[in-house]
Amino acid sequence: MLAAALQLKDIFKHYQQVEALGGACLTVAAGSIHGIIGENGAGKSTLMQVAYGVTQPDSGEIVVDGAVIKISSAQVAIKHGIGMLHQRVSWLDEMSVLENIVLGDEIKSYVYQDLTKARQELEQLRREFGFSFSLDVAMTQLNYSERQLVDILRSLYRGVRILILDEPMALLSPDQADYLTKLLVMLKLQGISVIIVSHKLASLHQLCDVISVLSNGKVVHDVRPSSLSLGQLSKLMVGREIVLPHASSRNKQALTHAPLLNVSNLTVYAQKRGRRVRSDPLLEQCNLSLFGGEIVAIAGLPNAGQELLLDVIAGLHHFNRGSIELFGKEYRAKNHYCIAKARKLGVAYAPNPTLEIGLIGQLSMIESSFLGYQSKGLRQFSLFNPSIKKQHCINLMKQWRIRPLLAHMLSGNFSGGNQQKMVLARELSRQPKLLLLNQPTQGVDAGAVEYVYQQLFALRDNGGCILFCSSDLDEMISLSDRIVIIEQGKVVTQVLTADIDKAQLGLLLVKEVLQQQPRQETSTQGNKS
Amino acid sequence: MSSAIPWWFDRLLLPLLNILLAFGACAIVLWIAGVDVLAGVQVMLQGALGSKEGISYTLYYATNFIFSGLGVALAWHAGLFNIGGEGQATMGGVGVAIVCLYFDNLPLFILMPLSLLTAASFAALWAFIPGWLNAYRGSHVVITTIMFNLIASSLLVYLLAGPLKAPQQMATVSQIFAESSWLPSMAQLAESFGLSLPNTPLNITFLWALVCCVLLYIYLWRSGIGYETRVVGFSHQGANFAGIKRKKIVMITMAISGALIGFIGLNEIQGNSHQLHVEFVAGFGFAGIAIALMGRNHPLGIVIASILFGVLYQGGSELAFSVDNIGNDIIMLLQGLVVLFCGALQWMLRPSLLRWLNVKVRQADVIAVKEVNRG
Repeated sequence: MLAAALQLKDIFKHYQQVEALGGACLTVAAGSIHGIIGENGAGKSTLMQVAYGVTQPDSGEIVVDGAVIKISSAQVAIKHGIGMLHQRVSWLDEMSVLENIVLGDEIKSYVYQDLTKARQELEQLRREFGFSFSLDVAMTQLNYSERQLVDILRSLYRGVRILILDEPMALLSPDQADYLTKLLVMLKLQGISVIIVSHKLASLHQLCDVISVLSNGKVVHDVRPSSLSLGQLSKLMVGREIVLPHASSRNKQALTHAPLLNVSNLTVYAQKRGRRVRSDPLLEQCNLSLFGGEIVAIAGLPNAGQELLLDVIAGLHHFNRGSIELFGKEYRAKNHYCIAKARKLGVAYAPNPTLEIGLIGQLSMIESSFLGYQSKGLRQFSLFNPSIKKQHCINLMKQWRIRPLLAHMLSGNFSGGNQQKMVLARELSRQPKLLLLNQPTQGVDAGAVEYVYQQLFALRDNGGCILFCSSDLDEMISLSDRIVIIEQGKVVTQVLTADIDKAQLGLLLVKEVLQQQPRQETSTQGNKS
Repeated sequence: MSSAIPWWFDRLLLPLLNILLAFGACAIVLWIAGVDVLAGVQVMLQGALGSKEGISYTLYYATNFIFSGLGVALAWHAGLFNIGGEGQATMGGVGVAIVCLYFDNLPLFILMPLSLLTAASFAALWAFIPGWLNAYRGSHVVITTIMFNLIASSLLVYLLAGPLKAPQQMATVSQIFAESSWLPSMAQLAESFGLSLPNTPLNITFLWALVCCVLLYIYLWRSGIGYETRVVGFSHQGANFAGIKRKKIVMITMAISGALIGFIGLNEIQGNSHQLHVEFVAGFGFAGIAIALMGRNHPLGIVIASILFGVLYQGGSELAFSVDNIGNDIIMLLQGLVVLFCGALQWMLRPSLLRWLNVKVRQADVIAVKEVNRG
């Protein structure tokens, strides 16, 4: 057994009425990759925040390299070699990678900052780990994955020995995730301990040396993935084996003859200073039909336009040309198609959880449970009576096992997975004819994913249709009947899910990557000159 | 480990301590000014709460504070900072004056709703324009509402120097309204129930202020549009997702916020002075910001904060009246200190107090557990 790099002993943490951590113990060996799994609300994020000094525990000890320390802030954590990657980092977008990384360094002179030393160190690290971006590009030119790598580079530059990652693969395309995996193994070989919190059991199972299972604020198991199967691992987490229902296992129902949704020649132009830029369409001539009783996935690289397409169909984003035909009625750009109208027609939309627009954090769970359905034509109950509102919320929370069962608590105080469950619960409870989902199971634990899938299939079998996008190829394969591939705002092709497997789908996307890469390089060079 | 923070901690204990701190600071200032502090406090409390008359004056001032506090709070819930209370109250007063001057032959039961509506609509218009500018032109309401204060006060001066000026008078005041158009005072109202109250400016508007509190509560927390208002205040993108039209909400909210503040005109002009004069708003519009802050933007909190401010206002006037070297500025000083401690520094004591209290709570827990075990 290697020496312990980080030990958390008997960590307790209460929030108001909720016990988030109840004596959690965690030991992370030096130079290992340590996975942390658990159901939503098990306390994973809180435990990591304690280790990073963002949250102060009520009691408990933190031991780093054999010495008991008190981590009162993130600065202290970094001083002790503990770094954490956040899903959303606020960068100074117009400044270069280098400037962003040295930001927060001790300032020696307010007049002139000498960056040559920092540049040398960073160049060395960059070459050592093979990061492809230059230190001089502005942050705006980097995509999500590259920004994440910049964050890792920053941590390495600060001399971090223990790196915490919270759902690092959530928004990455498959090849980006592969790259990250390789990088983490490299870090491990350098003696850096990596802690990953994730719901993606399969990738953790492959990657990690040790996996700790959290349940109700305690670490209940520490296991070596090599010694047990993926099924056994999921059993440890939720107490039973998770069987994800598969799309092909359904009894094929007759599809409706007329499409429920028919998108034709949909075009959205980019806007710059209030003017549309015709040379740079975000979506171009998109055609798409959805029939009742089917689930369709939109696959593509991040930012290929799949999220925007969902927004446009949901009525959240305007479109410039083409039309959207819903349940036989056609809407054009001038028809003022909007999300309230879409809801009235029977469209429901669960937006990307990371945007935090599907729930309002400062509203109580009760009030979040009818967000979007508050207007007269849509609400199912009067907003005057508090007990009716509460009952509605409690019903949803019980049905979807949202914890803790405190309807009056602010929805922002629930864990990310539980928030997403509430969004799904609310939208599915409307029994929509067309359901639009963006990253439907992001942050949702494996046990609850099973339930989400069951609900989605039930909706489909009742004749509804679902259009979704996800960065998880497995999810696309297991959930969809048909996959539409979108590339730079254009629908390029579509395949029946039954005809392909994950590897083939990955190849389809990689093909796009290969086509895109030269273009990216030229654009960075163009900016340099 | 800490126990849950008891509900009364943030809602009762902390505000109470903050007010005591503010009073302590006031006492120091009075002491420096060479006033006998204890005697001063006695004068204040006696003046504000010691007699029926004092209480009556306190509530009369509180009425103004309630209206402006409600108006600021409503706008705040939509994420708007309405600091145009002065202008909106001025316009409300102008509306009331026009009704009372030109329709004084109508019976009171028609005139009263008419002046109420006119006050509301004049003030609402004055707040609606900044709301519209914000919704469709993106201009910041803080800038526009404060500009509109200046326009309103100039307008008032113009009206009182010209069209509405009382004939054969040097002062910039309007004619005194016909007695038939005066709002019934609480003394008159009590008389009809066989009770006797001292004759003070406190009038029926006070009851209307309380009704407004209840209506605002229902509007914000029990209606669809109030829900939409609060969603807009929390997150524009969230509101967009919820299918809420922000522009509409901004304009409606500003208009209602203005209307509430405009009712100050009702209390001051039709209820008390019975004529339009230049400085009737006297800072009540701005005080609404402090009231809303102290009352945590909740109608009930606003009523409590308004009464506190009423006490300070009335007690301060008594103090200024009865103690030689103290002027009316003492009221501003007191209000300022209360806002400083209860608003700007409201969380100052919290961490240390909690730390101190946690020990207590933990001991209490231990005792409770022991008792359970024994039982």
